[in-house]
Amino acid sequence: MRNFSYSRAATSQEALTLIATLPNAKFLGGGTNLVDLMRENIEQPDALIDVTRLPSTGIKESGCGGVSIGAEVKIPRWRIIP
Amino acid sequence: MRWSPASRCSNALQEYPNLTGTKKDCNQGACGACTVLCDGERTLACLALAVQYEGAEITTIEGLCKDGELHPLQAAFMEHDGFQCGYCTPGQICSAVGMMREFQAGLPSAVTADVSANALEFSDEEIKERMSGNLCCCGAYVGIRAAIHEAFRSGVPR
Repeated sequence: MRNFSYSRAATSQEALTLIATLPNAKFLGGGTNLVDLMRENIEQPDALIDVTRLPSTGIKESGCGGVSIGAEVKIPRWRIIP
Repeated sequence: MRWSPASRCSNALQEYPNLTGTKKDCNQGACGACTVLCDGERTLACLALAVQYEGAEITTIEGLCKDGELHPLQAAFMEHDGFQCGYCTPGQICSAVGMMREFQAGLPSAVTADVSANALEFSDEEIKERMSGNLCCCGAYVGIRAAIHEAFRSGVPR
């Protein structure tokens, strides 16, 4: 795997600032897809921004028939809708 | 110890000579042999960057044993022949512990007929689906399911 830098965003604003300032950066969730693609050099980011520890936003109804799912919500947790 | 950002949990665990239980096999998240529990949730160690889990509690198969006694699921695997060669077993057991916690939390799977149901049925179909990320090349699935059923009936996970 190529070298890359790792940053952990503490807030949504910090995540947005990092993605705007770091060249060739990608957001990192659980990593199941991205890390696997990086392992094969299909994805070659120079920086990863970890968004898994952002303050929990959970799942909220958007008010127009849809739902908004926080970046930290894992797929098995999708059922828990407030 | 210090890790580069590219080090994965499976690499990190290999640096501890007393932790030989966790197995790295396919190294691409397909077989489940490297499954460990990160803060109680099952995680594929081969695709999890070690740096992401800084400060997290990682439980491997060695950590399920308590006060010298096997975890009830470990004992059930022995009772029901839930393995032949044993290579996938640490991952199977860690995954099953996490899976039973998910089930007890009321989380549905792809085969759950009614996702709004409060009382999910812990059926063979549910176990097959929920454990589908853990392959057993010896084909010990019948024994694995029997062991999981028994452990679930006896009130695991702890």
